[in-house]
Amino acid sequence: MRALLFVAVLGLSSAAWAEDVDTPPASCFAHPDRWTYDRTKEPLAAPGERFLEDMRGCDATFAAAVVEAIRYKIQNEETEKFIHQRSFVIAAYAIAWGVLAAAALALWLRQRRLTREIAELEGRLKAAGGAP
Amino acid sequence: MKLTWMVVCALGALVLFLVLPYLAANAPLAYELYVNQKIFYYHAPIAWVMFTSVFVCGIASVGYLRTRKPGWDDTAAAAGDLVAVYGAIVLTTGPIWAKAAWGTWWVWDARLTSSLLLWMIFVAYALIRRYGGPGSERLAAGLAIFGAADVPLVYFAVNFWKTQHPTNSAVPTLQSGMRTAFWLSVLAMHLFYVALLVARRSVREGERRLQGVHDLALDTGVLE
Repeated sequence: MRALLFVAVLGLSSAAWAEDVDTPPASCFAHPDRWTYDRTKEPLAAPGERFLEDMRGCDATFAAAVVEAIRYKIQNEETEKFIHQRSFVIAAYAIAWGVLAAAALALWLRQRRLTREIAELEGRLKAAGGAP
Repeated sequence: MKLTWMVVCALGALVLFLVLPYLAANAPLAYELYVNQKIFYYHAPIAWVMFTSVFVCGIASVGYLRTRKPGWDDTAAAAGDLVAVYGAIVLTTGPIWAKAAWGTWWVWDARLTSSLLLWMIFVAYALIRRYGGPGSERLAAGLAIFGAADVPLVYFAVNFWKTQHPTNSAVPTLQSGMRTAFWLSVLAMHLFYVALLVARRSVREGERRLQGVHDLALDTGVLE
């Protein structure tokens, strides 16, 4: 009896599943003209949004799978682009900071050396009796 | 007084330099340029400082040619040296940006070429001052005025000719988060420029004073 019940439940769930994965309704993607793009009337993303809407209407799971695949691809590309561009940004910032800091340091060192040389010469002049 | 100005400007710039990386990092990303656009927060303000320095040098040169007062000449010399320093940064950070954005370090575009010429004029200015001998300060002053007249050409090159370089409308059309980072960077760079200008001018005065003491030491036989 228990085995019979198990077979009946299994048979019913298989039938339900088969119905779920059935081919999409005939109305699916029946209006491809909705996806045409006119750059003078709408942004580039608009026909894409309409296509996604149609796809979700036909098969939500399949639409989610496509979105996930695209998301993965974009994340990969953007990460690569970010890593590549980051090195340029860091190089540019390092050069800007480095040159400005070097200029400030060079001026400070030059000023220090001048002050020392002037003091030394004035000291020698004073010692020799000539007013600086 | 000069020292106070220099310290105030340097401290102000340092405070802003500490805040700037945070603001630039948190500013919104620009369409198409993405992270690479962050170079703009330093590159463009430094280019503006370069233009400021060219004008300071040109105006001080006019002042020197009219009055022959050494103070004007010191200011012109200090500003001229700083044009070479800031120009070197502009001409290095620009190609780094270009490599990431355009895929090439350099194109002979009107803005890039005229910027390079402006920088070369001020390298020549520094060389004339260093090796030109007596009277070279007047020749250098003339060259500085010529260089100052070149600035509008560099700035409007993107309007006069079809160029690859972004146009001057990039700044007025910045988004709000970008605008704060950009204008604070402009302020920081100018404050730091004033500090460097005062310091460089002070070194020029020191060099002249040393020359005076040196001549006196030679006259009195202290030096041979």
